Formats: sequence, C-alpha cells, structure tokens
Amino acid sequence: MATATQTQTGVINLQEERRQPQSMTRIVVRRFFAHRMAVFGLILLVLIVLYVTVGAAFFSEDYANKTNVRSKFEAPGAEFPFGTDSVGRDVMARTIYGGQISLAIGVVAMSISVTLGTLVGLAAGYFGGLVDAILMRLVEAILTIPLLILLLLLSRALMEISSATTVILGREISVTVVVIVIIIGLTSWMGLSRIVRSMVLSLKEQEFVVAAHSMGAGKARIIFGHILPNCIAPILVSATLEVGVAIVIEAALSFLGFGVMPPTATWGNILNGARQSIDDLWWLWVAPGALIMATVLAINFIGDGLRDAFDPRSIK
Amino acid sequence: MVKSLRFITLALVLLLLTVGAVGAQDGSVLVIGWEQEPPKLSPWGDNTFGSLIYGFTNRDLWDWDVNREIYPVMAAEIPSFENGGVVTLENGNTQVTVKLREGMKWSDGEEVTTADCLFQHELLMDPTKGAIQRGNYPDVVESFQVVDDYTFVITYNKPWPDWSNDAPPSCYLPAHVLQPVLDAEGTIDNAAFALGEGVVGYGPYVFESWEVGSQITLTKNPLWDLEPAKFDTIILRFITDTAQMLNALEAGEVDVTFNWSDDLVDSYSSIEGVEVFKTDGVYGDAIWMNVANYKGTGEAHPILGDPKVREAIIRAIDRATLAEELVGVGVGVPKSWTPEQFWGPDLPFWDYDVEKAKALLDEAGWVDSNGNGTRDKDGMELVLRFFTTTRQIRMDYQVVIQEYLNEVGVGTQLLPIPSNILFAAYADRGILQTGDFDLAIFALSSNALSPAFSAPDWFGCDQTPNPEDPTGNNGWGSCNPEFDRLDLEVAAEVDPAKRLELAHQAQIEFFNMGFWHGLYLRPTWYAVDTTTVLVDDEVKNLGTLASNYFNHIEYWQPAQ
Amino acid sequence: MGKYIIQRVLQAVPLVFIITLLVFILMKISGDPLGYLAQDPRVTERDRLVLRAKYGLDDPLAMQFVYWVFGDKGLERQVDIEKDGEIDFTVVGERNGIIRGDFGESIRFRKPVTEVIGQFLPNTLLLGTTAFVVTIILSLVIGVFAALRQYTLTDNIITAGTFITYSMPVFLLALILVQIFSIQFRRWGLPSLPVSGMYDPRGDQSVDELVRHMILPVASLALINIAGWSRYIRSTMLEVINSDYIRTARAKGISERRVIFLHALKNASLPLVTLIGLNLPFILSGAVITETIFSWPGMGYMYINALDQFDASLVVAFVLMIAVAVVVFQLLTDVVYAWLDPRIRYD
Repeated sequence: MATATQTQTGVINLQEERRQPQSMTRIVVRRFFAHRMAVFGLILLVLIVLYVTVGAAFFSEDYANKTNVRSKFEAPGAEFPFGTDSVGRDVMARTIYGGQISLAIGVVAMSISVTLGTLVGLAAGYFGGLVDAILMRLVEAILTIPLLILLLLLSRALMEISSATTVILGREISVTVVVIVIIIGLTSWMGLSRIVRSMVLSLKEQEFVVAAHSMGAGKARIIFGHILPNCIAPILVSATLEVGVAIVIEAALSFLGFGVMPPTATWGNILNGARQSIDDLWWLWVAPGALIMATVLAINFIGDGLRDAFDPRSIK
Repeated sequence: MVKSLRFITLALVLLLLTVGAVGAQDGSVLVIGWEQEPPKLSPWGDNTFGSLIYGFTNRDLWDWDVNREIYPVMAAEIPSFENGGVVTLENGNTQVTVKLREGMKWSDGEEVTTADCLFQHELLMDPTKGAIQRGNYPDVVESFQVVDDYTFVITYNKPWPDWSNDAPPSCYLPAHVLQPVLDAEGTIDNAAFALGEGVVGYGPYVFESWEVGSQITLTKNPLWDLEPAKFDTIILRFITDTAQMLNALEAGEVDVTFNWSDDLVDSYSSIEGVEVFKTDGVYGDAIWMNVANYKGTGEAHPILGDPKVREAIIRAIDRATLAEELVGVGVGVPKSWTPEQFWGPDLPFWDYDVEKAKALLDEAGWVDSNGNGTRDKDGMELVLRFFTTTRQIRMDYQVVIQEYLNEVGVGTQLLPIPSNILFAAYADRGILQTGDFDLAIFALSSNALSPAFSAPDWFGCDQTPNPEDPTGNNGWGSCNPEFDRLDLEVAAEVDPAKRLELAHQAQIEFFNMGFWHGLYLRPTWYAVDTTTVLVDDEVKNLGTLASNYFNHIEYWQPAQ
Repeated sequence: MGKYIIQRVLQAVPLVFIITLLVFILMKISGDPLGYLAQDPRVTERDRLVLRAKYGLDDPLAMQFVYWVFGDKGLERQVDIEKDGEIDFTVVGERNGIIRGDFGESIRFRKPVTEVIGQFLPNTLLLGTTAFVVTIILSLVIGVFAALRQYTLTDNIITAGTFITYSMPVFLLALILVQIFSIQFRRWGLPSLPVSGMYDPRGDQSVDELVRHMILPVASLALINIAGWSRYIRSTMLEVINSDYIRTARAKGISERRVIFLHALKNASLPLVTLIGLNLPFILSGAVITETIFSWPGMGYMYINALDQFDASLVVAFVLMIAVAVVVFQLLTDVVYAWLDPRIRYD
C-alpha cells in the first residue's frame, strides 16, 4: 500500500525496493517521533521495562516469594513501599517479578500470534486456490467462537496438563504460563492473517513482483524478500497492540480462575487476589492495577503512533 | 441512522415493559447472600449446597444443639435403652423403635406418617432410584418395618451405636409427592420437585419460588408446629463473587453473609451496623501424603514411604502459628480426623521442631550431597509434587509451607488446581485417585458426633483404585489392617466407655499410617446486619453441626 | 444472489460441524463432571461409578459423540462396576440426538440444555443489547468529535480517556465503579446504585429497579468497548472528511454542520453498519466477566458455571448456538450490504 505509488517499472523498481526500507524507515521514525502520544507511550513503556528489570537487581526472587505470616497486610511504609499481601510478601517485589512474567506473556503470545497470522496470510494470499479456501475457512471457524469463550474452553481442557512446574531461564514457573501464552497466541492471529492476505493479493499483481517472477526469483524469495517487507506496517502495528491484549487477557483469565497459577506471580493474578480489598487494602490492587493500565496504555499509544506513521494519508 | 436509533430505543422500551412490574414483598424479609447457586434442589441427590436449603424447609427426626445434645424434632422422643426405644437383639444387633409425633403436617396439608420414612428407606437401599448420598446405609441396615402410622422399627445388621447420626432412619421427604414419580419413572432423578416445582416440606419455612440465576424465595410455613418462624420471607440471593458479596452487605442488599474466608474478617467488621461472629468448624484441612501408592503403582513411596521423612516434613512446619495467623485467633491444629471430644489422652502429635526435622532427614539418608540446597539420596532429589485446590486459604498455606520445607532442604512444586481435577474419578485421571501426587491439602468432612472414622472407602486397605477395580478412594495407598479392624469395632461397640477406649487405640493406629496431618478446623464466619436482624446469643450459638449453616433459622428474628 | 446464499450455507455446514466436534472433544477431555462428589463421604465411590455409568460417561469418546449427534434411544448398556464379570444393572439410552433436535441434558441442572439456555438468554440479550446501543451512540459522538478536532488537545484528551478505561481489566473497572457509585455514594448519603443482580432482592421488580440495576454493568461494558469503536469511527470519519467529495461539498459553501452530519456521517456509516451486523451475534455469548461480577443471570454466568462443572452438553450447545448465529448474521450482513450498495455483486 505504502509503496504502491512509488514503484514504476521493472529493474529500477527492484533497486528502489531495496533502497526503500531505509528511506521508508526514516520517514516512519520521523513521523512516529512527531506523534506526542506515541512518544509518551514509548517513554512510559521504557520506564515499566526498567522497573521490572532494574528492580530485579534490588530484590532477589527468593525475597519476592519470602512469606512472613506475622506481617501480613501491612500498609505501605518505609520497609514495604507497596505494603504486604495475605502471607506477608512484599507487594513491590512481587509486582517486579510478576511484571516480568506478564510482559513475557505479552511478548511471547504476540510472537506466536504474529508469526502464525503472517504465515497464514502470506500462504493464503500468495498460493490462493485450495490453500486459500482451507485457511480462510479455518479463520472463519475460529472467529465464529467469541475469544473469551474459546480461551476459557481451551484453558479448561488444558488445565490437567498444566498441573506441573517447569524451569525457564533459571526460574521455576507454573506450566500454566506456557499454556496461557500458547492459547492466547493460537486464538489471536486471525485478524492479522486476513489483513496480510488482502495486502498480498494486491501486491502480487504489482509490477515489481511480476518482474521478480519473470527474472526467475524463487517463491520463498518473492514471498519473504519482496512481499513480506511491504506488509510490515500492519504486522508491526498489530504486533504492538497484541502485547497489550495478551496482558489484559491474562488478567481476565485470572479473575475467572483460569489464569496463571500461584506460586508464579503475574500482575493479573496479584490484582485478582486483591479484588476483595478494593476499599480497605487498597495497596494490594493499586500497584498491579496501575502497572497493567500503564503498560496497556503505553502500548496502545505506540500502536496508534505506528499506525499513523505508516499511513501516508494521515497528514501532519 | 437517526431513524434506526429511534427504532432501537423503542424496541428497548418495549422490552423493558414486557418485563413487567411486580410489587415488593410485604412483612419482614431476611436476605441471605448465597455464594453458589445450587444446580437443583434435590435433597436426595448430589450437592451439598442444594441440600443446605433444606435447613430452612425440612427437618428430620432429631437434631443436635450447640452442645451436641440430641433433641427430638419429628420424633416424639429420642429412642434410648431406658425408654425401650433401642434394644440389643439376641444376636447382638441393634434395633431402634421410633415414634413420630402425631398431627405433623407437610406444607401442603398432608399428614406426616411412617409411610414417608418407609419411602426414604426404600430410596436409600437401591442405588438406581436416585439417592446418591447413601453412605453406608444399605450396608448396615437389615430391615425396616412399619408398625402403624406413627411407629416404625429399624433393625441394623450389627451392633450400631451410631444409629442416630450414621445411617439413621429419616423422614424428611414427602412420600405422597415423590412415590408417584418413582412408580412412574423408576427413579426420582428427574422429579419436578428438585427443580423447584411443587416442593413440599416440614420445616419453619416453605419453598416458594426459584428465579434461576437470581434468588430462591422461602416463606413462613403456617403448618409448622414447633418454634415458629419470625421472618415472613427469607430470600437466598445468589452472589458469586466474594468481593461483591461484601459490597452487597454494605449496600444493604443482603442482610446476612456466611461461610467466607478469614481474611475478610477485618473488612466485614469495619462495616457500620454489621456484627461478625463465628461458629466452630466441621471442615478440617489437612496435609495428605502419598505413602504407598507411588505414581499409582500401589508401591511404597520412595520418599514418603519412610516414616522418618514424614515426621521430618511435619515437624518442619509450624502448624500452630499458621492456624493462628492465617485462619484465625484461637484456631487450633487437629490431632486426629475424628472430633476433638473423642481424642485419647496419649494421642501422638508432631510439634514444630526444625532441628529434629533436619536430624530425622539426615538419619533417613537424605543429605544435600550436591550442594544445590535440596537434599538427595541415591541420585534422587527430595522434591515433592504438592497439590491443593484453588481456595485462597489453601494456596496461602501452600506457599508458606513451601518455605518451611525449603528451610530443611525439602523442595516442593506447588500445584494448585481446580477441585474437579484433583478429585476426578480414576477413569478421568483424577490426581488423588491415580496417586499422581506426593503431598496435597484438602478437607474431608468427618462425622462430628461419632468417634468412629467410618470411612472405609478412604482409609481401608483394599480401597486403592487400580485398573482392575476402580472403586475405592484410597489414592494414598495407606494400609493398616489393625486400624481397619479397630475402626469396625468402634463402629459396632455399644458400651460407651469401651467404645472410647477402642477409639483411642484406633486414633493411634490411624496416626501410625502417617498419611494424614491436620492443619486447622475452618470456623464458619457470619456477618449480619444488625438493623434487620436481632443478633442475640441464641443466634450466635447456632452451631454448624453437620455443615448445615441455618438449621436453627426459626430463632432468627427481626431487629426492633 | 440466491446461488451465493446457498453456497454460503453449504460452506457453513461443515464449518459448524467441525466446531461442534472440537468443542465436544475439548469438553470431554477436560475433566470429570462428577468429581465434586468425591469430597462427600456420604457418597461412596461405588455409587459415583454407578452414576457415571448411568450418564454414559464410561462410553468411548467417539461413541459419546455419535450418541450425542444421532441419539442412543433404546441402546442397552450392561454395567459392571467392580469389573468382576458380573453385570450389576442395565442402562437404557434415552437420547434422540441433535439431528432430531435433542441437544441433550445438562448434567448438573438435569434439564434439557435448551431449557437451561432459554432461562438465561433473555437476560443476556437485555444487558448485551443495551450496552451495545450505548456503546455505539457514545462512540459515534466521541469518534465524530475527535475526528473533527484531529490532533488538538481535545482529541488527545478524549483518546487518552477512552484508552484509560480500555486498558483496565474489566473486573477492576467494575469493582471500582461499584466502590464509587454503590459504596462511597451511600456513605456520603447520596443516592447510590445497586451492587448486583437484576432486581431488588426484596421483590420490587419494577422497570425502574431494572434500569437502576443495569446502569453499572452497562457502564462497565460500554467503557471497555468505547475505545475500540470510537477509534474506528474517528478514522473512518477522517477518511471521509479528507475525501474529495467532502472537500467539494465544503467548497460549495454548504454549512459545516450539514457537511458533517448529512454527507460525511452518511458515507461513514456504511462500513459501520456492516461492523455492527457482524458484532451483533456475539451479544448472545454474554459478557462472562461483567455478568459474574454483577451476578447477572445471563449466558456468561451460565457458561462459566457449565465450564466449572464440566457440563459438556451445555457448553457444546451454547457454542453451537453462537456459531450458527454468527454464520447467519454474516450472511444477513452480506445480503443487506448488497442491497444497500448496488455496486456490489456476488457471484
């Protein structure tokens, strides 16, 4: 879409095509940084990432899991800036380690969803015919069931295999994390696949692709070398937004009792554990609630900024 | 666009109008917040929360007060050896003659007679007729004879001192309503009764209506002839979210909430005009250990099979402090599965003692030879798969216990899972049934009135489910023939002193099996709005015997 | 057109069948619907196994599906609980199968699933439709307003506002609303809103009460959804406003108000109507979280209970119903779209 007006003829176009990403990138970056909300979002997100990474240098994970039943429900103070929970754990340390898991869930689920969505979209659009028909029927079938209904159903079915813990990057983590990442990823790629497919359909008729064909370029080279780079805009935007969606979904699943199981903390299950205490034990929910909100907000601002930056029609 | 909006508005208004207006309830109303809607109301069937409603609408032959003293309700008097109601037959078996009070009426005006008791007996004897909570009734009852409209005789096939509370005769179902259903369908499984149609009972309140998903309405039963009900209407309001239950009480939408967890005591107490009190619990959470059904093989557990390791693990946990801090002030640690009043004086108990725990583990050969912080032996790390359900208090216990165990070099994987997976049948790969666990926290309700364990299904030797025979519930593989023998003797010992003596021995044998270690007895909390309900000592002394939270509801009265 | 409709319907049949099969398998492998009985010592394990046999839970998975679809009426199953070769009793099947309109019985409610769904559906329609209408109206106002003031402070504030509610987990938003409008307002002596349910428990079932009970759940649903819809409307409006057509209209000196409301909005509404049509059937599924929080007796409340209780026939019937509704609405939307816009032709 973005490059459609800039291509003209055969060989020259191919060269231009190679040059374009750079110049396009520069334009997009310039536009993105001109977008005030997007910049604000980016700064916010960087701060949150610093909180969960640099914060981990101050508190060990053992400390985050350290219980002390004699100091449960302590209000924020000098010792515990965010107070303590029902078994006397430091809420601040838990939001740091829980945040790592929440963000990881967002990023990994996004990677699964974007990879699937892109591959399915490319395949359906490029090969067409039966491949297209089967893949798009599959997309329709999944889209027929409301997302939350499908997620709950899958997590219910997989609950049994989730009853274990596993060691990832030196941390012992409930398998529910892995299961949730996978089911979020598997249930959220359909939208992107449709967008990518329609872009491929229009791109594949364009001269630079036709030219690449005639020059004997292989299918893989055409798909990944010529078509994919031109689909980068919607993929990036939807990847950004998907991270936020996954974090919110994890929190929603926690509320319904289908989320990440303790002892592994996430912002979602810390928040859910605090929901009886909206009034009197406010410190239990304010920190995880604010972190989820800030993260999702930041991600949406960034996504919005990216969309505008990629869109040649949004004039600034 | 504007037109379609107008249309939608109109449609909505019409929809609202069709809902219709119904006038408010007259008279005094008590609204009780109910955390879980029963799927159906069958008292003969399969759900505790559904049968709870029968505390309002149905009473049985006798009941117990807060001091666990038995008193007659439908019975004219409590049968005893003294009044000739209980006799020991020549063969030693127990026979009980029960006289009903005359003139009792079901809420539809029919008289209560022994035909109702006979109906229930027949229901309990046959598994295909629809009764599910049959317990050991069909195993211990030999015969049931109706003498006249107000007298029947039940004969047990063994000496049966627990006849009043274990496999007792029962008369709370109206035969004149259910017998025709049974005759027509062969089962009362699908009786309309269970779905709230034509419900008939003998109790202070009578069932009026059930708005699915919203509430159940009960009204005062004018035909009830004992202590009269004080409220005209009682509404059981379904509020599934615990946070919203608290809000509903504060907002005055419900007057009573109950059975909530201890961490809410402060929140409830801080609400103006609300009084909070508790009654003794009957549900005791415990740590259950897989001692001899390692991975479902029926073989000794390589770690927990060793009594020293079991003792070390329990000694490493400060159960007294946990009960005090996590469950509530004054909550103690149960020493045995049966109720406290039957405990023997020399009942063993493993106190908190970290040094002893470490020493025991060393002795058993578990040492941290590779320096990773976890003990090991013959290349096997001392790491246990530790299950529980998703109840908050249990998950809290889990994380704290994990830390206590880390302290002595015992590693745990914490696995909280929904109870339906933990308790699933063998064929559905239930965690307990298939022995796929090392440690677990959960509760089984015990009989609050008897010193007998009477749960051979759970504790007996040949009750470990396996592919050849999936019956039985003993997923931890415990087996102590001496315990099995003693427990049968306790159940069948008529002489109280001798019985207690045997029970004390059985408790020690139970302890020696080593798979059960009490954590706490969960008290039942109530929060009551004092502007609607008069909360006096009588109300507070309700007792929650037999896990029925409202079986003295007729004493609850409006404030002012 | 007729041919197109037939083709779509024919495509939908295998689609719906596959969904049903998948959901059925997922439900069946998830757990034991009678697991809860194990905690009750009054229920012996033997009696639990008797029940399993009665409900046909011991049949092979494939046969359970076959019976569910085609029925098992008259089929005799000989049950041997102890597996000792001795037949304990015989169970005779009673189901007609979904092909004869029998969607089976809910294992926990012990009622036909259609009856169970029938009890919860009207409540969900009431809540869902109202929330949907409120969302669309507010989104239109916000979206159009933001589009007219693109990148101004107002636009940014509106955007930020909608995003803030959008980025909150819905249960937190709902509980905060309750805390403010039900609890704090009451403490301050202001008129407050009800916490849960559809009516006052004490029996005042007037429309007035219903509306009061609907405010917070509708507000929670709307606040979460407005962000997405208003962003969509904003961008559609921007596209139209920047089009040559509107520029021409403006150049012609037609009043700004007229340009926006008559021309721009009219042009932006076609894709909007499509999107609304495609989203309508999802109202049927209920709002699981909002209904749970507010104890609203709707489909979401029913679904989460059914999942908790492994009530397979109820869950499958529910998903099947939504799937069919979605397919029907897609078809309807296509037809209406073609009818509204004569440029579109389906082959």
